[in-house]
Amino acid sequence: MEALGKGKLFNKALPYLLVTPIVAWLVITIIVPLINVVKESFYSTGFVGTKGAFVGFENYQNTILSSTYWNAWGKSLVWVLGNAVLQSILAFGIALLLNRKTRFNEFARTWMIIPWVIPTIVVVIMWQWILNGSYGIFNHLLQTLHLIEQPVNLIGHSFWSLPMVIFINTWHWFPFMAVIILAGMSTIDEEIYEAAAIDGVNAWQKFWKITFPSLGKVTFALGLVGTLWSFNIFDTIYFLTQGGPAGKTTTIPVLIYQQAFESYRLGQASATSIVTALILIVYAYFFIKYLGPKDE
Amino acid sequence: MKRKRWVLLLALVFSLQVILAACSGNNNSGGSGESQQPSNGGQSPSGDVVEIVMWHMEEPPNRVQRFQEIADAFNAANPDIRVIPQVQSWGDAYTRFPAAIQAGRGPDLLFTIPDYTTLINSLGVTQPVDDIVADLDAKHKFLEAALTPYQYDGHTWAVPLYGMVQVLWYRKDILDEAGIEPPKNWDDLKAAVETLTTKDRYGIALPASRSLATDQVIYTFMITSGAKDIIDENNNVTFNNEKTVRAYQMYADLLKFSPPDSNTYQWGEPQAQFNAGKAAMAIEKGQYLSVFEEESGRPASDLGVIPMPVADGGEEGSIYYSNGVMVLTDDPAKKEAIKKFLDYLLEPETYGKFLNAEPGLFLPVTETGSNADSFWNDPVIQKYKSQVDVLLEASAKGQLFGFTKGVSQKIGQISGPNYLSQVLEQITVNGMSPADAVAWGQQQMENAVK
Repeated sequence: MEALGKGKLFNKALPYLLVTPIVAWLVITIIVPLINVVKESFYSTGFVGTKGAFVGFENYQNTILSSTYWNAWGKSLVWVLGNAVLQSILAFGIALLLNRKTRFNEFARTWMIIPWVIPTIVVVIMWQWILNGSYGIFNHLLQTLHLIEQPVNLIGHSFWSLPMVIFINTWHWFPFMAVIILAGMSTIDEEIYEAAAIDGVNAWQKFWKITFPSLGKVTFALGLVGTLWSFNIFDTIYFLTQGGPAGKTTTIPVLIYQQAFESYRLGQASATSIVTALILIVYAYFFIKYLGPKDE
Repeated sequence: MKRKRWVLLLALVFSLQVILAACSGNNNSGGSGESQQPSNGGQSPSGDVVEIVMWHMEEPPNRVQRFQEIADAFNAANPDIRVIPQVQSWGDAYTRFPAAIQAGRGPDLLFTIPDYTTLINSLGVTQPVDDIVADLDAKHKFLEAALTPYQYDGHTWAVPLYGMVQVLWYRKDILDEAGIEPPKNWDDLKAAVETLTTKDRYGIALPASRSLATDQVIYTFMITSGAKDIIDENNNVTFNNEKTVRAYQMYADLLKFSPPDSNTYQWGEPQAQFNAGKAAMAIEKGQYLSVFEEESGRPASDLGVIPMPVADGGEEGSIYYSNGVMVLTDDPAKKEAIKKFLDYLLEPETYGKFLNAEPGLFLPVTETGSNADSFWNDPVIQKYKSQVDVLLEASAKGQLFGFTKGVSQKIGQISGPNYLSQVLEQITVNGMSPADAVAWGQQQMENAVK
């Protein structure tokens, strides 16, 4: 009888015991640093490792009243929208092409993901070489074709730097989106397309009336997670341009990094992070509320 | 069912063990019985050998190898001490090192430059090295320009090890072909770069990115314009003046004759253009010596060098700073070992070998070092003796921003965000006039040091 009782207790406790390690890990690596960031946001901490004075909401005030902060938001919005539009067009296009059962497509589905699997630093170095103003292949081609006389420095250009960084990031990440969309397309019943073909529906109508709506849940997930991931990208931008030239590619993550580790204002950077996170939470709430798939 | 339960339990125990092992602290505190306090550096001397962990940021393989050779030789001669050089990245110095030091995972010795020392000092872990420096100074006589930036608040905070200075490098073959003499003043420099710029070549290659490399070259122009004082020991910013504006105007003018992607350049790109013959001149430190023949395919005699040209009413000089080493351990036995090691390092027979880890770039900071055979007998130094003489001559007139009017302990707030090169970006990217850009820079610097 006693053994039965102990067995029941063990069975009840076992699930909690099994999740304890991962919960502990999450607490240590996410919750504790997060609490620390919130705490630091109320202090005038400078260089990492030093102690600052309590300043209340002064850091938050500085962030909200800072034109630099809102300029960085502008860059971030262009970055997110640019990536979303370009990646969507490419990903949908590739997914539609690869959604047919051909020998080539089976081969292409594997090799299409190459840009995605290349580490970010390698992607950056590769594109820096291609676009290099002095000996990059891009300029060499343009000059050989007599399209330009002098080499162009796209990554260092005051207007073209942000579009170029968006393009490079799109090249790196669109296969991921394409794979997700392709997987979603494989769940659409072929009979719907056959019925539409009988009714004389053209290719664009098939996409807009059947394919796209059928991928509602997929596009919702990609839209939410994709925009948040995209917003938070730091490495590609920083490795390519360090936020330059003259702040033209300084998005919010780059700004936060610069505040913390170049201007040595950890407290300020913490406040900037919290304000940004709150704005993103509000965005996610409204995105889910108004754009989430409705159960019929 | 029972077996399944045991399997699950074992899996739980295993995963807990993995997490605990990953989170385990530094167990370098020595033998049992000692408290497990976090401590930086190598093992405390519980046994026979005192370990000294030394972090340096000289990443090129030849420098890493040479530092290791010197440590190995010292360790062989001193079996009770073990110096362990570990190469790190300057990129991590400002972001990861403070966290490592605070967590007790930092080194005993940490290489440094003057403005970095002011930042690490704020962590409260740097040990004064007054006695070490006094002993070494008595034996070897430090150059004043090398030592002064590390002396403030009544103490010396780092031991200088090697100096670096900027000069004007020129391709003698290209200048001779064009019939141009090496420029001695700004007017000559401007005329020369204009004449030397052709369809296939630029008169000069200058960095213009937001970076320390650009800061340093701009500051060299500021010195020769007569505007070396940016900030004083009371952290009063004096950046905005007509001589600073003149320096930025000159830099912006010269950039028209520099490759179009100069605003992505740091240290390596101007040197690559120079060695490829795509640029006739460059302004940098002594690293141009050792690789010139190999990378350019030209003889050593084609590598010309002169001190920085001076503006009308300006001042001779260029940026100069000594790289030093800070002591972060307060353990008496380790400090004694460190004293022995630094004594060994600065002995003329060792010091020259240490400096020639990068011949021409690392310059002596002591008088005995300047005369050491071990320095002058290096094949590269011998080949480029006249160029090295120019570098040493320039060192004597070197300056460093933040250390020209006492020591500004907030200079890190100006050098960290690269405000000198940000001002240049306002001109080259945002189209500001040099006067407006310098005024903007003054404002940014004042806000930064508030």
